Amino acid sequence: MKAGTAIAALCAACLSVSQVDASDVSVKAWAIPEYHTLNSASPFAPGAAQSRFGKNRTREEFELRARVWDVNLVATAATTAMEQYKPEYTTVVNELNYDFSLAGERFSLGKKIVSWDVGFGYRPLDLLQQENRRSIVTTTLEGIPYLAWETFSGDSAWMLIYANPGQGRAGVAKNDESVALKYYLRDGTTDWHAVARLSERHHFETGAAISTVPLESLEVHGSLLYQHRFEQQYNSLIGTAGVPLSSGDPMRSQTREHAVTALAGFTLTGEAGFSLLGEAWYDATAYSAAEWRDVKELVSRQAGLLSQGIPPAAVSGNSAYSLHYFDQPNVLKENLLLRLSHRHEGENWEPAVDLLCTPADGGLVITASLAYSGNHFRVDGGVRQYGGAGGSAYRLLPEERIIYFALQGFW
Amino acid sequence: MCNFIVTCFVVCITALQAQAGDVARYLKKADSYRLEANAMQVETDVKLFKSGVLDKERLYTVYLKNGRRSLVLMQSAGEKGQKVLMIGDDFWQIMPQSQRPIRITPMQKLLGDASVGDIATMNWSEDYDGSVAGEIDVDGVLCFHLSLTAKNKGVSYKRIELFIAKNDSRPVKADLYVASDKLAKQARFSVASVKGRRQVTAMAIKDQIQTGRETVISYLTRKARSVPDEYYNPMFLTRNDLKE
Repeated sequence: MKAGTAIAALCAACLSVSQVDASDVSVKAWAIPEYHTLNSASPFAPGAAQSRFGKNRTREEFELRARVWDVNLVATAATTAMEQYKPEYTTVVNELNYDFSLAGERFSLGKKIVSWDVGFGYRPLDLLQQENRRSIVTTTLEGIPYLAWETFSGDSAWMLIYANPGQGRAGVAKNDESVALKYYLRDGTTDWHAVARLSERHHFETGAAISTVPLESLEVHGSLLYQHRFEQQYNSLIGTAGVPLSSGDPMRSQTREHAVTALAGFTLTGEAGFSLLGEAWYDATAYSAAEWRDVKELVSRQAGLLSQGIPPAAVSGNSAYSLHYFDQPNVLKENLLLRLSHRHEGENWEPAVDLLCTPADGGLVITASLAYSGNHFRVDGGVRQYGGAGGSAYRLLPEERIIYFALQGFW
Repeated sequence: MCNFIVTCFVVCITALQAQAGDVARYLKKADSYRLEANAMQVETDVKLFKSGVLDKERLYTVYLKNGRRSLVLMQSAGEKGQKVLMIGDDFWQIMPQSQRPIRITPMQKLLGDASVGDIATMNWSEDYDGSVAGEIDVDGVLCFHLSLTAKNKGVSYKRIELFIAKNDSRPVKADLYVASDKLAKQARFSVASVKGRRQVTAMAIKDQIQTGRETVISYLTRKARSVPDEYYNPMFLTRNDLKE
């Protein structure tokens, strides 16, 4: 109710401004129930009780999109209810920005979604927005505070952006203060992108991406990123002798140098409306199969302590700390994604199935979905199943299945 | 004998050139019923019918400029913020959730609620050439039958059998063929006088593959408007400068 009140206030504020035309305001309402099935065979399962894994939840969102004078506003009010947790109420300004010209140059300031790169399953060059690409339902992202200068010619563009001013090194990488430069060039059927960024956490990052359409039905893309520094979390109990339990948080962050992340992929679309997406990527900042074996061995040892009279709370608490291993954008370094979907012009139904696998350990994630879009509503439903070889990271996930629905209405 | 063959050859070439010139002239004239200036802003209403029942209605603002450039802004609530840019045979799309301009293939531009190509393409003369196949009566209107083939690879239809009124070259009917040479759609044009000028006011497109489906594209307003070239830069899609 708090969310609804907040969005109603936002709507009223916008509509009360006499200059706002009704066509400049739109509202979208979401209801997203999710049913999560716990993987009780996972050695991480004792820790799942203290985490979000395996818990059913529902999220309702009200999104307002408006243009007031030349200011763009996107705001979301949401309620999230999850098993064993108190409901959360949030109101987020996703975007509030002003684009303008001054002395013949283009500027932009405020808060805005700034997504970069050409891939779908993963985007190495998405240095500022850092979108989670594996969420099951894509709602509007929350932008970043910024100030930008841009210049455009017919075929090229430059963007210099100062992101998250005054934040320094923030608690979350996405909120880090940074300065970034982006260059774009269109060369016939090919787009070239180059980026560079300076931040305290990563020092210097630079990369390039390409997207080309060699055939009417085929698009091919690739990205490459170099990071001078990156951080990785690890459990300090790994490799230690004695009882593998800690009274405090054993997770530590280590800084490493010289990471290269690369992605290559394609989209193939046929006349009948079938689209096939294929991507392969390597993320040097993700964990290796050997690192997963180490953490599996640790949490298995911890789970084994339950039969030795150790208090369950101590075991589950320690197991929960290791769940941070699943926080990375990519669970493993090597990833393969295939996605097949069908959408015909004017067709309301859109089925899709995607398969993500991690060849280094045989892990597998299958997601099947079906969407129906009407005149003023859209319904999405699907199931995501984690599995693959025993001992693979995705089999270790303390969750084996998610069934979800997303109901949208828009006016 | 030799002179006779040369004369025949010259006559044939001249006749073909004359016919090609006729087709180009007819197409330019037919285009003028939809595109009245080199750069325009067109407000478009698209209704999708299934078995005669309205399924969806969508609103689009289309900016057109010479050089085969067009920018489509989705205006309906469910699509607000979506944009599609077309420059010649190259296409980009931006979705409001992520604000990332991505390159799409000519095939992908056909996959939305309504074909962006149908909404944003208002001229045949830049994309097609062909020949006059004859004269035929279409719905009581004596028409030239123009058999057109695509000059550019990014167009939605590789072949069009276009029927234009013999007396004033207004478009009457078009059979639209996709790359596999399958008849995909059949379009009929409504022409009326708007502000003293005869214009195509609507285009009704019957799907010949998914039978029972019809798309009616109505041109609500048209006005001459030229936006700067930088608006047709794919990276500009993330900006909100454009006054709609």
